Formats: sequence, C-alpha cells, structure tokens
Amino acid sequence: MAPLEPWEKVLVDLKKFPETVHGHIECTACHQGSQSSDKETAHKDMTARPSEGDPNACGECHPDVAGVFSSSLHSDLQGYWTALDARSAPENHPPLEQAFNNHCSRCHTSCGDCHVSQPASVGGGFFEGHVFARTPPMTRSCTACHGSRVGNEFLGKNEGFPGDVHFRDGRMNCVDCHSGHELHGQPAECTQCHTSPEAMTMKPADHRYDGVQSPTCESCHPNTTVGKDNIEMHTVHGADLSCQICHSITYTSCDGCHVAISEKTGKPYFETEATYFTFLIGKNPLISYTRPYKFVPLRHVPVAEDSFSFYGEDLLPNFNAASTWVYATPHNIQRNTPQAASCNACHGNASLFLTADKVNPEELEANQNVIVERIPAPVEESTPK
Amino acid sequence: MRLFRQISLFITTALLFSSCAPASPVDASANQTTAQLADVKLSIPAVLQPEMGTGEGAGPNECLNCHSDKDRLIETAKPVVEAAESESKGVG
Repeated sequence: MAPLEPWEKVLVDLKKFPETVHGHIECTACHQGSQSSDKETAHKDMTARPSEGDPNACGECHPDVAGVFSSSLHSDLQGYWTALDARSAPENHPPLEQAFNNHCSRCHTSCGDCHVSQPASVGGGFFEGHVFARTPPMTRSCTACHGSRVGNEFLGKNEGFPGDVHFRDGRMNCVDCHSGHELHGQPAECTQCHTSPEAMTMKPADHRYDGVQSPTCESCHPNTTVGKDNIEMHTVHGADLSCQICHSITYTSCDGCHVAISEKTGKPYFETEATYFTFLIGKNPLISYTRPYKFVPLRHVPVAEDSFSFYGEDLLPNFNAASTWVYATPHNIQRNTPQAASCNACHGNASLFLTADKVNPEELEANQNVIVERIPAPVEESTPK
Repeated sequence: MRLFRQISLFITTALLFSSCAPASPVDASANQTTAQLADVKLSIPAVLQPEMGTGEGAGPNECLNCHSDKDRLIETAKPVVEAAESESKGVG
C-alpha cells in the first residue's frame, strides 16, 4: 500500500461525497471548527478525527454501535492488558501504562479508521474522497493493521506459501467471517455467547480467544462436526484437534520486541529480534466449552522479559505466568496440507510438535502448559479417505 | 303479457345503461408517478434534521471548497514530518 501524499489524504471527492448521506451533513457538525476560507480560522478548535472525540461524534446518529464499540477489543485493546497484567504486578502498572500509551495504543481503532480513512497507525488518508464505506476495504483497512501475520498469511504474501483457500479460491473478504457485530464488540444474538449453562457464567471477553468461538469453521462446514462427510480423519479426531491443526500451513512467529523512545527524535520506536516461519502443534492452553481441543497450533509472540526495560527494571516480574507460545488460528487454511497427507505425516513426526527442545531455555517454565511431552505415536498406515 | 314484456325490456335496458355509468371517483394519489411522490415534503421533526451542508439555502461550503481543490491543499498542507516510527526495526 503506497503512502498517500499529505494533500491526497484529505482531498474530498466533490462529485461523490455530496451525494452520500454524510455529504448532507454540515462539515462542522462532526468536525467542529468553523466555515471560513482562511485555513487557520476554519481549523481553530477543529476535530480532525471526530470518532476519537469525547463524545464520539458518530454516536450522535449511530448510538447503537458507538455505545458498545468503546468496550470492544478494537477500541480498548484489553487484550494487551490481559497479557501485561498476567506478567506484571500492580506496582509495575504506572511505567507500563506509559509504555502502553507510547507504543501499544497506536493499535487503537476508531470508527473512522475502518469506515472513512486508512488507520492512523499506517498514516491515515481517505479511502475514497471522504465517502464512507459501510464495509471496510480489506487491504486498506483490515490488513493495514493486521498485516504482518494475518494479512500476509491470508493473501499469500509469505513467499513459498499459498494464501488462504477462502481468499484464493473463495475470494472471501475478512468480513465474510468476521461480522460487523463481532468487530464492533457486540454479538448479533444473545445466544451467540450464552450457548450453555457454563457459558451463562462467562465474564466479558478480555482476550481475542475469550468467550464463545466466533466465527467457527463449522458455521459453514457443519458436516465436519457430525461425521457426515465420510472423512476418516474428521471422524477419528472429532474435537481433539482444532481445524487449523490439519488445515493450516507454516505461519509467522516473532521474538523479542523491545520498545523505547528515540534519543535522536524523541519519538517512540520498537525493535523485534527475529521473525521466522513455524508450524508447531502444542497443548491447548485455553481449553473451554467452545474450544475443547487437546491440540492447537502455537505461535510465538514477541514478548520478552525485558521488552519494557526502557521504562523501568523488571517490569514483568511474573514473566513465567503466561506462555510465550500462544494459541493461534493461522489464516492460511488449505484443504490439503503436508501434515494431513497421511496419518503418519503427523503421528510420530516430532518436527511438528512443540517439544521442550524447541523452546528457548529461558522460556521453558512459561510454556509448561503448552509443551508436548510425548508426541502421538505412529499408527498403522491406512489410506486416508 | 304484452305489459310484462314491456316491463322486462325496460328493466333490461336500464341494467345495460347502468354499466356505462362512470365509476366511483378515482383516488388521485394512486396515479401519482414516483417523481411526483418525490416532491412530497415530509415533515421531519426538527430534532432529527441534520444540518444541511449542500442543500438549498446553505451558504458556500468553505470546507468543501478547499478540501476538493488539490492545488490549494498542496499549497496549504503542513510540511511532511518524519514518520513516527522510522527507527523501528523488524515486524510490528
């Protein structure tokens, strides 16, 4: 995605925009400022990004969405704090909050970041002359942020590895699986989360894999769950394995992200030590009613014990309280994969499993809940159906 | 008998003529075209009416005038500042 010129970012399409619903609203009703031919006067007290305002200007006409969005993971980034809280102690929070505000909060998303402009984190700029998009354009919105892992996997940008079959053959977009309700942090139906007596006691989601699994592969492939498709592997494994165990391929993992403020420019920056391709199966650290799998693919996340050392010493004293190899749902689904070519392509194949020898010795304790102690033994070969 | 025939002929003639009478008045709105209906002014409570920027009666929209003029935007744009994370290395 080529960066936009400064003028291009704010150029309104005078043919299209006035014809839209939003084009009938006075500019200053959302952006404040005033009508003037002088830039300084017009921009005085102007809000360039009205959906970042307090209150969110979009809520004036869209109170149903704006009301719940503020507590969605896209907005509050609670997933970061779930991970930081687990590894830190309360006394570490002030410097961690400073680090979070300088670095992590750049991933915060507002209404405008998806519906009218490219996200601020990638430089902003109107999608199409300030014409609002009900459905965000995938590559200029979704994968502009979710690019280095999900986007590259899904679109087939990792050299040597094909893109996700849902994109490659199905021409599916992110929103074909991830509904607006989900992206706004609001389930479409109460029963989407409250599916069972157990689910009735669920606390609000504070992690992307918290709560009910939505979307699920079974929503579109229901026969795979009830043994009606005559595929032996589906019948034998049932819910022991997440779908991605057999149907995803090599994906990206990262190590050692460190953040700091530049002495030269005074601006925040980060450095990651390594990025590499893996496909590793581990024990499911999040076994629940809706994620009952024994095994799931694991991705290494770039946290390190000293990731925030610029902001203070030992800010993650409970580093081992959370694993560094985490539950993953790679977005590079294929019908046929090397590990599913036959039973013993996986059974007895130690290279596919996260065993202790593959874990950084300093992270062994943190990953005890996901390390596979004994890989499944080879089985008598039969021709997969 | 002749009288009966005359009465029957009169009734039959009356019935035939009655079918040529004008029908009940037509509801004029049923024949309105879509274009005519579009002219109907809806009464929207003032509280729900957005401030109209391009509608009749609105003054010149200075915001749009400038923000649709490429040359003017180039002239008045802030100078390009260095990207905030230009010193970042690796995958974010």
